[in-house]
Amino acid sequence: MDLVKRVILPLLALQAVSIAAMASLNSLSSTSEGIFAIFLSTDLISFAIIAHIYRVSKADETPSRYFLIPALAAILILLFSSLTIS
Amino acid sequence: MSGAGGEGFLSKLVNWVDSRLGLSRPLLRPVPAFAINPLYWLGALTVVAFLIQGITGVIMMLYYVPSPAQAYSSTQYVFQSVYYGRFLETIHLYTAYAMIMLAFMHLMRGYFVSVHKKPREVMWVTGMLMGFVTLGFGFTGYLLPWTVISKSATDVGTGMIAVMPQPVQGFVNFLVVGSGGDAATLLRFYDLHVVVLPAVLLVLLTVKMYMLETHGIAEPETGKALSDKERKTVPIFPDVTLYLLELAAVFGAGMLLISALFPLNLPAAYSAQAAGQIVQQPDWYFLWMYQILKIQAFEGTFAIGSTHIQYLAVALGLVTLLFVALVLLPLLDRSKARRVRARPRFVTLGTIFVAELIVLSVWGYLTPGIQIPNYQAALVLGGTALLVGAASLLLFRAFGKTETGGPASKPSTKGLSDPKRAVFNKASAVIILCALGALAIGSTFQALLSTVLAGATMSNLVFLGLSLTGLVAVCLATMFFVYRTELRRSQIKRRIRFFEWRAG
Repeated sequence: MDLVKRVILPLLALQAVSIAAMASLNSLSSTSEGIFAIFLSTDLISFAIIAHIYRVSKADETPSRYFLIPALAAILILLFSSLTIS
Repeated sequence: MSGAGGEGFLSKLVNWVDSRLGLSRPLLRPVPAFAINPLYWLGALTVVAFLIQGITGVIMMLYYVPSPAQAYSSTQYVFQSVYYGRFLETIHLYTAYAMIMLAFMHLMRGYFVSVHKKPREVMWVTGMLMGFVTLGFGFTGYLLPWTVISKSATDVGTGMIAVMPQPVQGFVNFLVVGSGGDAATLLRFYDLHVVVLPAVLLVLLTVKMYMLETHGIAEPETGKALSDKERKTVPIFPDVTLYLLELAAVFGAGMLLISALFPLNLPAAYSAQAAGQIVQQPDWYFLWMYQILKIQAFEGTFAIGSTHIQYLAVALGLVTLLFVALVLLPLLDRSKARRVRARPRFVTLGTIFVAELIVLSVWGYLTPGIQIPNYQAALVLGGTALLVGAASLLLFRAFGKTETGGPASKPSTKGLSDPKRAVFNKASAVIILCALGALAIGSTFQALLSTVLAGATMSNLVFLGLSLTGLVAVCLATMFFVYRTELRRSQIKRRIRFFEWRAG
């Protein structure tokens, strides 16, 4: 499976799920604020990864592992912390 | 690496956007590949922070009432009753902090890589004005929640107006205080924060963008010619746009997380009684200035003829002079050299400036409301300047180039003739070493005394450790200086490679 399918499609799915999760939060509770921030951050980082892969692939270059690995690790950490908070 | 399926979809999406909006037409000039580096986009990130400020600010404006009676309660309403209200307030505040920090980093990067030189002088001045507007945002916005902390901090700032010279005082009073009284001041701050300053910033931003398009991004001065790959240009859409969006997304994610981790708690409402119980202290980005004003030397008044002038006015004048010098930097730093290694004086001054700002801010944070004795101010500020300056100059002697581009061991023949220059260099080295030595010995003595009298507390031990480190550094510097002098006199036959100039 190529990088696009391996990374971009799961990230798009993750974004869709996190948006649905954000919409279901109780927006007046302080715990929800934390979870909302985590999901929105996840969405933004996913967007950054997708943009990076697209931009770099277009120029026939390899996506930077110094960006991809920390960014994907950040997403994983954020998702785990959202589970912990909730 | 890339797949036809997903990339095809993304390509179609980008092409669709482009065909509808015409973004790839040469509206903005393409960017050279060397500029695809976060350091080149600190200014753009500052603008991103400004945009986030704008969006969150407009939402808060819907609820905020700019009157002393309702400012606090309307802010409290946002905190308690608006969806994600506290989060909104938190992100507004932290992004403001980020905006100030990014603007400062952008300024200092520009200073060190000489973007203020021909033909970008006007761009530099415009950027400096934008920096002042950014500080203005911080100053005016801080008052708006009308908490005891924000009102007291602003009182520190507005209190400075009284010591300004008469014509300046009148203008600043008109601009900031209005017709007097809390209501007028709050309304004036609100107007400045939501109308005047954003408008001014947008005008300045337009001017700066226009000039950026005219002159392009300054090429890095590394001493080597740029490679073809670095010179290659990248179109503004979609490549640079996507790159900027990547940076903005990461920045936004960072701000969101910081806001979630450290949510803002609204302090108590302002009242004269509550204000009497707290220490007046400005927000962190003005702490350095406040710390200068707290130095004992700036207490009291002196007379010129029949006019009594406060020493505080002198301190304010010095700070203003610093700002003016920064604005007029293109006139002060007129050499053609742009490379960091080739500008020892200005890079050293810049390093000292940054170090002093950090030291003053941290010191101000640690000593709220405490007046600073003169000897302490001299020790800390002088010590910082001397240590950082000496370290910087030593690094330049070891690795730098002269402003004409030659190695540092072959000084420029401009100005002083060589024998005079040698005497001058030696004399300045002796003076610097003596001053540093006196400082290191003095502070070590004081640290020892404090440790003996007050006990081996953590702060005393840290002070002692730092003093001893300084003393060792001065000893090493003296050995280095003696070695160089003796080598020149041919008293030392064996050269030590470690101590030789790299270029020599």
